[in-house]
Amino acid sequence: MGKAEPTPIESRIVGLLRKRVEQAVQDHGSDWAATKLNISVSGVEAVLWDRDWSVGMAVQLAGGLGVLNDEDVDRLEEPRVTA
Amino acid sequence: MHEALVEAQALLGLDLANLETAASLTSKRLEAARGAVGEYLEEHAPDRSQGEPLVVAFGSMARHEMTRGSDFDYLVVLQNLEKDPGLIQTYRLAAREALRKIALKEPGPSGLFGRAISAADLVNSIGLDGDTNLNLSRRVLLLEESVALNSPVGLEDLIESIVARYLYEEGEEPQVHRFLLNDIVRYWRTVAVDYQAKRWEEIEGDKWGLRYVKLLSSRKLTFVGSVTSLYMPVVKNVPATSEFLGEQFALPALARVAQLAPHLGFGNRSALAEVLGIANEFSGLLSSADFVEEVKGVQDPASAPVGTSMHGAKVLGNNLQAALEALFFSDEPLEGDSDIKLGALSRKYLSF
Repeated sequence: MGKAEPTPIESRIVGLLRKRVEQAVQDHGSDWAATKLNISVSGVEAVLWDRDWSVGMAVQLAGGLGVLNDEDVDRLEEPRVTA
Repeated sequence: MHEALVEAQALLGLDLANLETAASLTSKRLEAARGAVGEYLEEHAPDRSQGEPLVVAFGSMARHEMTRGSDFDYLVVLQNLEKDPGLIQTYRLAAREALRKIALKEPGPSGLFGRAISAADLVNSIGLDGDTNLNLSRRVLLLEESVALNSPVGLEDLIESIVARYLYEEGEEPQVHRFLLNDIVRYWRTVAVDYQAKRWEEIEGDKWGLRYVKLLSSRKLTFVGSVTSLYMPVVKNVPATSEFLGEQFALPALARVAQLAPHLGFGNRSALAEVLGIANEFSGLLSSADFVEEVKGVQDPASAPVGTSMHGAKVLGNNLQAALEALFFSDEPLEGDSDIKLGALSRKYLSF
């Protein structure tokens, strides 16, 4: 069976965090991001290529790169409804 | 890109830029994955010895066809009985660390990969009830598309052992070894049948379209590569030894097909050029996030409307099939003073 659809708030959060992650990589480079996330440069490329980030992935990346704010975490604690 | 593909590119006047890009990316990823495994084992299992468990990666990494979105599947293959179960887990964790480093992913839920298995089962359980679907898949994938992340010599030896089992009691004169060929064909048919079976079981999912495209392209070409390898002793008129075939299976799948180039006459070269050109196109498509996003959600590939990415992939797949038939069922003699025709080999070995 297919995975549960993200809630609207989750989709917005993923979109918001994704933009911050992409901007951070653009500003500081893939090598910097690889070091921060403790993965390879090709790992950075792989995650940026992937269109389908889960909330967990977005939070992990944003947190690792230092672009995750407390308000983002609060938004995520709203109740989740599965399809 | 493997030298067989470089040679074919030059001989046939092809542009295989997408495959070159994929090979280059694969090289970097493979180096990163090997580095991650090495570092992990250095820290957690410093007293390694010959006969250590093998960390083996499968799929596009082994085929040299990775895209930016690629990860890899893996198995830990135990060459010996390990007295320390902790060691087995250490090697599994090393593989997971490599996967995390290059793709930030955890292993998927399939029972086929992500586990520790015995090398002895791969060598000794061929055919009959003990040769389950899982065992067949792992054995043939090991032959067709595997790469070592920690012990290349260990993997070479294992592949040669598996091939030697298939060749047991068969002669070494130039021939196509039927036992091995039959199992390669059996696996290819299993992949195709299992695709439909899984669709029936799952009813709906979010990856069927992409799996379908891979069936039309890389899975089919991997099968063709293996068939080509088994034909090569006859093509080159060399002994069909386990050493020779072991070296064949060390080639990436598409290179196994490309190695035919210098042996072909004019007509067959055109067909091979078509095959490799389409493989290059598929490589380009699968490296596009837009294409992958569009096809993966397609539930009914057969009904894909004209103008969609899936319809385009199906057309390309049909062209690939036509080119493969033209090449492998051709009655044009091989280049040089040869009576050998690929069509004769295919009618003899791929039909009854």
